[in-house]
Amino acid sequence: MNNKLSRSAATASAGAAVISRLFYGLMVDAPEVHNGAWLSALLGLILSLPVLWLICRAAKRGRRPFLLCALLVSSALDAAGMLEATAFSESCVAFNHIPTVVLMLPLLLAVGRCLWLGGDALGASARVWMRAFVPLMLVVILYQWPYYRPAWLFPALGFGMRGVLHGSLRAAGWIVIIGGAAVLLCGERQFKRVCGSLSIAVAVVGLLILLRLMMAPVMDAAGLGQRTQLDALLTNGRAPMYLQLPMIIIYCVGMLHLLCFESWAASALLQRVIPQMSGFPAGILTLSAVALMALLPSTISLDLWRLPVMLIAALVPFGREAAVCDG
Amino acid sequence: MRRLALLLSLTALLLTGCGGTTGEVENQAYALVLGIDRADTGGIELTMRIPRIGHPGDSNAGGEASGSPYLVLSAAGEDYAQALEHLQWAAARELNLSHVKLIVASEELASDAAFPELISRVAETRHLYTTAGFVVCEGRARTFIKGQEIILGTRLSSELAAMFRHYAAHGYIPRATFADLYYATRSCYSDPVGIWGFMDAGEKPAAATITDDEDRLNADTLTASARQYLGGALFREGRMVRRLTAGETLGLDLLTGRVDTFSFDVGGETCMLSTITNPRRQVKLDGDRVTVEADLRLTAEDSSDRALLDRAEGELARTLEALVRRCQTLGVEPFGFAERAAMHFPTYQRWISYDWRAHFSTAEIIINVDIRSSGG
Repeated sequence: MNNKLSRSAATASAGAAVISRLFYGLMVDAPEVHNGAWLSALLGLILSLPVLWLICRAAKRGRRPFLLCALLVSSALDAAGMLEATAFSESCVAFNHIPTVVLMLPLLLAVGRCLWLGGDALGASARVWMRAFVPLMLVVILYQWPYYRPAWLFPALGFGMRGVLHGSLRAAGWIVIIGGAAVLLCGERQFKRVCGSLSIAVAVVGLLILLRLMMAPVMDAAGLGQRTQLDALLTNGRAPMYLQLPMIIIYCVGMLHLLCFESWAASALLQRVIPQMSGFPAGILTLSAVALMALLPSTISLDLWRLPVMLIAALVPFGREAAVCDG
Repeated sequence: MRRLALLLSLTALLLTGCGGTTGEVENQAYALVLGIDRADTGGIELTMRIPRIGHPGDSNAGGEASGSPYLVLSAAGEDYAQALEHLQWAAARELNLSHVKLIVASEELASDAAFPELISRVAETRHLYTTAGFVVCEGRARTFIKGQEIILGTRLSSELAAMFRHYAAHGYIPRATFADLYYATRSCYSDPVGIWGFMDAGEKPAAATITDDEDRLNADTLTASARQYLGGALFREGRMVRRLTAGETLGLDLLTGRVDTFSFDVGGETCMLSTITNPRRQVKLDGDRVTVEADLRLTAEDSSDRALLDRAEGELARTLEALVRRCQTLGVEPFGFAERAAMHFPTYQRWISYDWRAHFSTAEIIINVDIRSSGG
C-alpha cells in the first residue's frame, strides 16, 4: 500500500475532503449554527491557520512522533465518525429499511480498495470528481434558482455568536486534521500554498452553505435532528423532484471521498509513526480500527477538543530533528 | 481486464436493492392523494387514492367500482402513526408514498389545536416527499377524495399538476405545497396558506364563489368536475383560522409575486393585467412603530385608457390594503413581510422576542400600484 502523496494529489484530495467535512459538519451535524454556518467556516479557517503554520514548520524539521500520533488518532476517529454518518445518510435515502451496519460493509470495501491503491490514486479521483462536481452543481443551481429565498439567510447569526464560535472551533479542528495530514504526508513546506488551497475550499463550502440556507428556513429547536437536516438538504419538498438524483450523487460521492481520504491518511500516518510497518498490515489495522470505532456507541464529542490538541501537538518538540521528511 | 471484471462482479453483489419481487412496480401501492381527517372515534383517519396497475376492469379489485382505474382506501387509528400502519395492512402491498401529488386535510382537522403537531408527523413520514400540493377541503377528506375525477387528461397525477399550475398562474389559488406549510409552521417567518377545495353540490353555480359578493351572479358557470379548487385557507401557528375568497387569494398572490396575469374589475369594466416584476416589499422598524410598504408594477394587456388605469390603480391599492388590514385583525401575516423584518435582527432569539405578529397587527400599511399601458 502506497503511503506517498504528491503535492498536486494532496491539494485535490484534501480540498475535496475539507469541502465535504465542513459542509456535513456545519449543515447536517451541527444545525444549531444554521444561518451562521458560513461565518463559522470562515472563522474556522482563520483559527486553523496558525496551527497549520506550525505543522508546516514541523514538516521542515523532520519527524515529530507526537504530532504524527495526534493526527493519526484524530484522522482515524473522524474516519469512523464519517463511516457511521455516510451509512446513516444512505439508510435515509434507501427504499427499504436496511440496518446501518449492513450499509457500512460496501463502504469499508471501497475504503480498503483506496488504501490499496494509495494517495496518488485518491488525488487523481479527487481531480476527476472536482470536474464532475462543477457541472452537476451548476445544473442544481439552475433548476433551484426560482426557489431560492435570500431572505432566509437572516437573521445572519442564526442562534447566536456562541453557536457560531462553537461551529468555528469545530471547523478549525476538521481543517487542521485534514490539512495537517496532507501537509505532513506530502511534505509541503510552503505555507502560502496551503493557505491558498484551503481558502478556495472554504470559499466553496461557504457558497454551498448559502445555497442550502436559501432552500429551507431555520426551524425551531425540535427540527434540528440529523434526519430532518438531511431531508431539508436532499428532499426538502421545494426543489423539483428530478434534482434529487444529482444532489444525492454530489452528497454521497463527497462523503465517500472524505471517508477514503481520512482512512488513507490514518494508514499512511501509522506507517510514518512506525516506519518498520509495511503497507498491508497498516491498512488492515486502520480499516479494523475505523470499523470498530464506528460500531461502538460514541458518548463523547471530541469536536471541540481537536484544535487545542493539534495546537499542543504541533508545539511540543518531541522527536529529534532528523533529515527533512519528503512526501 | 480481469481486474475490471472482478471489480464489476464484486460491485454487482452490492446491488441488494434489486433483489426479490417487492420492489416491482406492480407489487407496490403508489399513493397519489393522501387525505387526513378526524376519525369518528376521535383519532385520525387516512384516505389514499392509489392507481391500479393493470386492467381497470380487474374483478379482484375492491374499494371503488371495478371500472375505475383508481382505488380509494381508508383506515383510522388513534393517531397518525397507527392510522398509517392500518393503511399499510389495508393496501395489501408495500405502501409507496414517494409519488404523493396532493395532501388533503379537512377543514375541521386543519382548525384543530393538534394540527400543528400532525403537520410535523406527516412531513417526517419516511419517503413522503413534501412537494405535494396542500388542500384544505370542505367536509370530509374521504368524501372529497372519492369524488375526484379526471376531466381532460389521462392520469390523475398530471391532471392535478396541470390544473394547479393553471389556477396558480391566474391567482385563483395560492401556490401552496405541503413543504411550505411545514416549513412556515416550524420556522419564524410568515404564515402559510393552503388551497381551498370544495364540493360542487350543484345547488349554486361555481361563479358564485368567484365574486366576493355572493349575491352578484353574472352568469352560470358550468364545470365538469364535482371537486373545485378556488381560494385559500389562512393558517396561524399551524392552525387554519379563516378561508380566503378568490378575490382575497388573488390579492395575496399579487403581494407575494406569485401571479402572472389576472383580470381586475373596475366599476363594471374589466382590465387584463400582468405583473412586470416581483413586488418590492419593504419593512421599516422605528422602535415599536412598523411601516410596511409594497410597490406593485403592472401592465395592462388590453387597455390604454389612462383614466381607467388610474381608477384601477386606486381600486387595486385599496383592495390590497383592505386585505392586509383584515389579516392584521386576525393576527396573521402570510405576505412575506416577516422575512423582510427579520433582516433587522442579528439572531433568531432577538427576532422571536420581538414578536413580529404583535407589531404587524399595528403596522402602518402603504401599498403603491403602478399600472402601465402595454402600448408604452
